Amino acid sequence: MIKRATFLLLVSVIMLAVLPLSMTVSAQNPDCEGDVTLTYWHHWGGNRIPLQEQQVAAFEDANPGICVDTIFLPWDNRLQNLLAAIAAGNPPDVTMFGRHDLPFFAATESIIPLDDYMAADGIDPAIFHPSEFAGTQFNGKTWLLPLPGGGAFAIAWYNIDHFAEAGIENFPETWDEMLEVAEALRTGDGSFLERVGFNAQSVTGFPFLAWLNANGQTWISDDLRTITINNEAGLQTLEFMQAMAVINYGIEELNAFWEMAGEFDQGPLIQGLVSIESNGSWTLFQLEDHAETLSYDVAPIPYGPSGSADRRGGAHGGWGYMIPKNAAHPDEAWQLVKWLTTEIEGKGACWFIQQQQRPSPLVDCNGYEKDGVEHPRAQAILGVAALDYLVPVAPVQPEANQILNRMVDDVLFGDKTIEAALADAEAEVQELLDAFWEEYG
Amino acid sequence: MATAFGSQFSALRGKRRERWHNLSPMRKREAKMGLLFISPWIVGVLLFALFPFIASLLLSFTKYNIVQPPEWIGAEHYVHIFTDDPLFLKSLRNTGVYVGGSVAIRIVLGFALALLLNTKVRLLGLWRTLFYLPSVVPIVALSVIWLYVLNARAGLLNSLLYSIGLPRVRWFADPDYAMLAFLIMSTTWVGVTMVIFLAGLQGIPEEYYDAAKIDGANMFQRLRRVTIPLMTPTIYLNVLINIIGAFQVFAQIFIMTGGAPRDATRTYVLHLFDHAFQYLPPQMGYSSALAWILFMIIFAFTAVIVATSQRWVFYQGEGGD
Amino acid sequence: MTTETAAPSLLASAPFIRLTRIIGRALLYLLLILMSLWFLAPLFWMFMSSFMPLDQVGVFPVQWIPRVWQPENYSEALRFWNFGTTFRNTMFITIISLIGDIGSCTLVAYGFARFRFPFRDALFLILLATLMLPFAVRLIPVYAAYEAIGWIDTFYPLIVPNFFGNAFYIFICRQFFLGIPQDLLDAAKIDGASEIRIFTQVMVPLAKPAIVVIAILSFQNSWNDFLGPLIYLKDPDLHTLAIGLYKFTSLPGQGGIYNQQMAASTLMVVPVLIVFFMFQKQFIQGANLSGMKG
Repeated sequence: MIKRATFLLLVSVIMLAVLPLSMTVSAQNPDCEGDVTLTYWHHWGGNRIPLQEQQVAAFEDANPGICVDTIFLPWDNRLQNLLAAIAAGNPPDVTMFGRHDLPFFAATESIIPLDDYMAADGIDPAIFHPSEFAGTQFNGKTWLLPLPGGGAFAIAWYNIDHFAEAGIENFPETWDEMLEVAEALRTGDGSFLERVGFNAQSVTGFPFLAWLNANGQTWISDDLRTITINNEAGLQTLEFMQAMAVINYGIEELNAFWEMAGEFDQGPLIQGLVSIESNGSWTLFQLEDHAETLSYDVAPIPYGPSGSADRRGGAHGGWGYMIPKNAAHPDEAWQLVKWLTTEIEGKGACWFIQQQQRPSPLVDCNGYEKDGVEHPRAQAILGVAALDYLVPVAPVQPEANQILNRMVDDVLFGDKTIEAALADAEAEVQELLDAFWEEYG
Repeated sequence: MATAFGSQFSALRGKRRERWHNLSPMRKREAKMGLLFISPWIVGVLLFALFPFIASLLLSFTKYNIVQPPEWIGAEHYVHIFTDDPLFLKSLRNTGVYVGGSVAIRIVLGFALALLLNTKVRLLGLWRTLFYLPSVVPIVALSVIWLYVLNARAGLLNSLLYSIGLPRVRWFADPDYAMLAFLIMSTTWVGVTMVIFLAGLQGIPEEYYDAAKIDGANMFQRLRRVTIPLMTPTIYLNVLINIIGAFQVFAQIFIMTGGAPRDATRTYVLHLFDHAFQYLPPQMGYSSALAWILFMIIFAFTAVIVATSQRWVFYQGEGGD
Repeated sequence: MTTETAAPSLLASAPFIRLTRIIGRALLYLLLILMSLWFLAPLFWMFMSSFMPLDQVGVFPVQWIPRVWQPENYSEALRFWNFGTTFRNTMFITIISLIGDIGSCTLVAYGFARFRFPFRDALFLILLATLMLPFAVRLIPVYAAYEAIGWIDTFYPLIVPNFFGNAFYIFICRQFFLGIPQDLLDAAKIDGASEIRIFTQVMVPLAKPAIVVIAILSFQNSWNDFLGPLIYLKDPDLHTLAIGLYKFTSLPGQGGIYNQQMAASTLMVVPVLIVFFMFQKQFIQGANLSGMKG
């Protein structure tokens, strides 16, 4: 019996292994011949994989002698992979990198500062929008170059038909107006939601930080040593988030409803489950692809009672490219970083952004211009981006985020008063910060 | 059976006093043969297991951010875990719930399915394959699928509950039910336990059943007096393996909830993973300390089960010598 | 089967027994059908959604039938996957690991089950202990060690350890060996058979069901293993199928190609199912133990 089974197994294996030979597409450029092979890690999955491959192939053509192994790695496992490789002394030559991960790696100098390379090749920081370039700095040095643009800034995408049905003419400017509008747009029977006007929890990045920012308060001091959330602005922010949850029948019902949003391309706005959705600039191509019939517009998210009209969302994090210390070929790696972040003529940075129709960190590159035609929504979105304000990244950001999320939940689930939650969270994050600076300061 | 147990006990008591120098030449030869057979594993442990074990134990007494050399700090992490880490107890409690629930589900359901599929049913292979099917689906796909099944508003399970007149449950949106949702999901892997039980059932000689039938035993009596006693080695195996595995539940939780809501699904390994590879600076030393505490807990459970196994596990093969 | 010897009564009368048997059978099949619905519904959705357009996958309430059938999801998925290379790599790792697992685990299990030696029980506890330390804290030392001996970007880390025994499989096999009646071994010993011969010609054939289980589990584990290949295999030419499944997802919140991911998952499940279906026939009631004894 076993013998026959094994035989059948072997036959099917061989057949299956031979069949797909014809459709093999190699991730590497088989034509590339060079003395140096760079290892390049990125997290652009899905439809961006072919774009990455084309971009890298163009780099190889433009830089004879350098070949690139392009490796996609899942975002969730990025630190695990990177840290293991660094610990073993075998890091990639270039890797895509979260700007919110920067302070630790810069403080420990586990990545290479780029200032000397930039000076040598005449790369002027002014080619980037100042807010984008700010996110690359730590301890006065440049550690990565940005791309894409702070795609994570908060844009409100809203359904025009819903607004018309509810008789609302203008998009709300302030939080009080936002609460009114959200309540008017929400439908349901008092305990079971049918449609959400707006979910304050769904702001891209870190909801509390974005709202605090839109309320005129930066959450951490400029020297990144002192956390500043336990104040009037913080209090108002949590009050606003709480009020918005109450409008949506409480946090549990809201979260249950929001599970229908998921991470899918056809989010709640497209399905008509929500009237206003705050999401990053990538929402544009999702809407283009999946919502031909939706009539929508964009606006900046509203500002709080302590805030002002010229400071809205909170771009937080974003991505860039860096060279780890101990990279095998740092000089060639720099050439690749340059291609991925500053190239405007060839199939490099600008082309990659334009294919995706999202904002470019490069002043001279309009990310919304594809094949010479500007996207009709471009100016509206860039107008929102102009009101955006960079939220600084703390050296202990990931753990701080968990603490802040827990703080918001403590309030929304009614386990703590707003005052107590703010005080506890501030103390907890401050303790982390103090420990960091004591060690790395 | 009583004699079998008796001889097992005496054999055990005898073993306690065994030392190499007072073995008879024949027993020495037997011992050498045994060590020869297990030698691949011993070599494997020395080559592959020992180093990471010792390394992580040492690291648990250090501050280690992975990119810089570790710095010795003594038992500081352990003190911190027991005195100043509320998530330690919370994640341990969550894990305990998962261990209890999922082990019970896998043993009871797995055993029942194996019994059912060890009878003369039509299309036996088909049924077995169907029940095993979910276990072979990669965890990424399973996670996407189960997010649909357990979706609070429009998921398959809630549609089912609603259609038979029961209230909807907010599964992952409700801290009280989120862990239960993962327990329901754990039925996915019942097929693995079932297969091991099926193999165990093959070791029961038909004569035992024939003898029981002649004694007039009905189905349940045969189950209680023949099947279950003879299956104790396999039950023992499945209980231990599932406990060891369940204590380390991670992948589906990492992908599906990341510990939400309200840390209700923050399991122990998720907690230590966060310290190792989510937080910055990475706290690999702290993570290792957490891991070693978990190791001790699992080891204690295992040791107790192994120690008591002599009382309830019966091997057909033993006692004959 | 039907040699009932109880005293004649209504309960034991032939028609009554037949009736209860029919009802019992009916209930049995009903139970089987209900159970398989529970196990199959999610998988059925995976299959159906692999033919859906992307914007139908995330729609609630869940939809079962593709609005438009898109078999091209499969060809698209294959393109992402670099199927030829990844399939051969996965097959290679899986088959070699399978051989290693079966060979080493049966040997070691036999040693634990059938010989008395000092510290045997303590060693067995150590064996189980190797399963108890989470991967997250072993990763860095293990990775550094493999890097030091040049094993990163090779298949060795995924294959070689399997030749030195896996605690789970050893445990399965040991339990089975312990259940084999001693008389069989004694008989072989009297015939003058060597230990190796007893092992290969008596024990291994008798332990077939356990070996089949190990084969199934080993195949499935290597086939679906994601973390190992992700960490040890960076070179795209060495990638396995399971790594490819992640290429369909993107950055957080930015969507993924879930219909193609489901297509790829469906393709990944098929070989494991074929293996399982072929091997499950080895579980036949009563196996050969009784046969040999009688």
